[in-house]
Amino acid sequence: MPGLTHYLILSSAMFCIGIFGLLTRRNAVGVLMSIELMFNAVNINFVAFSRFLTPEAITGQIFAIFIITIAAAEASVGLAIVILLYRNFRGIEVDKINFMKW
Amino acid sequence: MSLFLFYLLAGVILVCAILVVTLRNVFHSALFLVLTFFFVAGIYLMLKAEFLAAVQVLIYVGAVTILILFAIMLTYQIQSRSIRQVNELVIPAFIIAGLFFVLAVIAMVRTFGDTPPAPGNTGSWTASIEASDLLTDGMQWHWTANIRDTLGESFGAVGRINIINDELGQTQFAEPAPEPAGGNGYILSASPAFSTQQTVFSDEQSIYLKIWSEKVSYDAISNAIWILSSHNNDEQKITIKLSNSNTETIGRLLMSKFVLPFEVVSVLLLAALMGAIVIARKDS
Repeated sequence: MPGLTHYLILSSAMFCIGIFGLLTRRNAVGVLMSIELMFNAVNINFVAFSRFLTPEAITGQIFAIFIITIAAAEASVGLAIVILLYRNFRGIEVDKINFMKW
Repeated sequence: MSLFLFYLLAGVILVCAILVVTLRNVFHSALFLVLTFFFVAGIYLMLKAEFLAAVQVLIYVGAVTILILFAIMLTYQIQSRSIRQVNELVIPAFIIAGLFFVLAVIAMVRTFGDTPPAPGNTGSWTASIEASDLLTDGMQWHWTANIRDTLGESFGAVGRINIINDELGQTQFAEPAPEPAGGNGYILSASPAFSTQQTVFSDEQSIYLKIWSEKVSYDAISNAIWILSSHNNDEQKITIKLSNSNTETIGRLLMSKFVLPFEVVSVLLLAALMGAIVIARKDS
């Protein structure tokens, strides 16, 4: 039986892969995909804690459901922004879109 | 066995996640993202979160990645396959991510390293009856439960509880004396490997029967039939669906304890829907 630390290490590895992608991707859609990876890592953490620490109260799973909802909302708004950027800049490389930099 | 399964799932997840963040072609990245989400659903199944696994497949694999694929195809440029997909931050980002990983693993292992293993083979079930007139003195409750474990093997369990009103009018629940040949105490069990324990408690409205076992996982019980009989043998049979399934428990929680966050999040989804439409409209 895998213990709690197995799941925690898996989720932190996945989260760090997400961080790496978030920092290195030039494509805005790639950045969004990295964020989704990090959301999933957090969800694994929640469900693992709910399973190992409070097995009868499944509050962690409820939290994971709310996170999935927030992630869906984030994806829809983010992709709408990506499409708007593409329409205005003819490209979605995030290092080109720096007109808000001071 | 389950450790092997975990390593298999974790290995596929990590390889696919690394491919998601490193592949040149964003379209291929999105396809590997689908694979990652799918195997994360397998991790949820290992953690006994069946509803969450189904939601993961439906929403992430079915909706979010399709949305991402649409966005990629709407913004796709032919020359983008040849241009660099990563910026100049690769080495600092690698160092930052690696340091964060080391830090997180050290913190988590030091904090939770001695967590006991998941109580996969224990569980409890609670049933309630909303009737106070069943508490008359001398009444005896019989309950039977059909219990199915995760391997599909089924057990039967029966128990009895006597209702006794004491001198002050308080209701007491007394368990009958163990039967000599009856196996484990007052519980007659079909299998010697399976033993249950029971307890009864009540609050203002309801009476609860809680059954638990060391051998059968908590989502395994199918239903319980309570046969309430008094001493003059007129029986009243009540079948109670015990809330044992993961989905049913989540549904009850979302409609009772978490109903306000649930409604707030639904409003948020509506706002996000309208916001996405407004942002992406052409004549805005």
